[in-house]
Amino acid sequence: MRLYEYVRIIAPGMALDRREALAAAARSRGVETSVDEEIESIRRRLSDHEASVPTLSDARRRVAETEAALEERRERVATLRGRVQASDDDAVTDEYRTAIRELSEAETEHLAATEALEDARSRARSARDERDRRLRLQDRLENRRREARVELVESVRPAADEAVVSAPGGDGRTFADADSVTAALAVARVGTVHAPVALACRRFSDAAEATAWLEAPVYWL
Amino acid sequence: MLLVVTYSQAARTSLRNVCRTHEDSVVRRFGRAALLRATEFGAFLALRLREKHPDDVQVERTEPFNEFRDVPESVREAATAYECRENPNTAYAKFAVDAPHPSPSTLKEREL
Repeated sequence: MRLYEYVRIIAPGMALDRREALAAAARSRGVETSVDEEIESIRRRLSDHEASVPTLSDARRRVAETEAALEERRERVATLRGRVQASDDDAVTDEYRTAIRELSEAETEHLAATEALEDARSRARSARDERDRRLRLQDRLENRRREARVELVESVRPAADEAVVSAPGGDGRTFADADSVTAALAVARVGTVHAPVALACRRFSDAAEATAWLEAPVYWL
Repeated sequence: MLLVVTYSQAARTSLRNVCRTHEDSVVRRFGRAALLRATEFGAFLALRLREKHPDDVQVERTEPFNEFRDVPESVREAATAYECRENPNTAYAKFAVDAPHPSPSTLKEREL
C-alpha cells in the first residue's frame, strides 16, 4: 500500500499499521533496500504461466468401475465353470463361453483405464513439480519482503521518532509509543505525500501551519 | 494412511488449519504435507481439502513397509553391508563391483 493510503484522513481514533506505514514512508522517499533486485527477479519468475494439473478423478473413477466389473465377471466365470463341469447342457456351455468373452473384454477395459490413469498421474507429477517451484519462490519472496520491510523501517525510524517529539499536541517520545494521530502525522511528515491529507485532528491552528509542518498539502476539516 | 501434500500457500494454510482442528486424525505433520489416519474421517478431511484446492492438493494412500515381506534378501544384505563399509568414501556402484551385491542399475530396474 502506498503511504497516502495510510494518512489520507488523520482523525482521532484512527487505526494505523505502524510498521507498514513507516515502510511506506521510507518507500515514498525512494529508500532502496539490499533485496530490491532479488524481489524484482523473483516476481518476474513468478509471473510466468502457471501449469495446470490435469483432473485425475475421472480416470480414478474409471479404474474403480472397471475393476468392479472385472471382479464380477471373474466370479461369474468361476461359477459357470463349476456348472459346465457338472453338466453336459449346451446352453450352459454357451453361457460359459459368453462369460469368458465378457471377462476378457473387462480385462481389456480395466487395463486401458489403468494405463490412462498412469499417464494422467505422470502429467500431474510434472505440473506439480512446477507448482513446487512456484511455492518455494513465493516463500522466498515473502522472506525477502520481510527483510526489505525491516530495512525500510530502520532507515526512517530516527526521523519518525524526531517527528513524534516535534509534533504539536502529541504525547509520545518515540514513534512506537505515540498515539495513532501523532504517529500518522509523523509518517506523513517523514514521507513524501503529494495528494492532500484530510486533517480532522485539531493539532494545528490553521491549514498553513499544518502544511508547513507536514510538508504536504492538506484539507482542513 | 493418507498422505496429503499441498502445492500452494492457500492449500498449505488450509491443511495446517485442518491439522490443528482435528489432531486426533493426524498421524504426523510435515511442513506442507501430513499423514492422516486411514479412517473415513481422514478421507473426508483429505477430500474436503481437494475440493477446496483442486489443483494444489495431492492425496495418496501409503502402505506399511515390511522389508522382510517386500524386499528380497539380497537388497537388505546390500544395504547392511554398504553401511558397514570400511571406507566411507566408496560409492555404492564401486562397492557392488566384485561383491555379491546387486548393482545400482539392477536395483533400479526391479520393481518391488
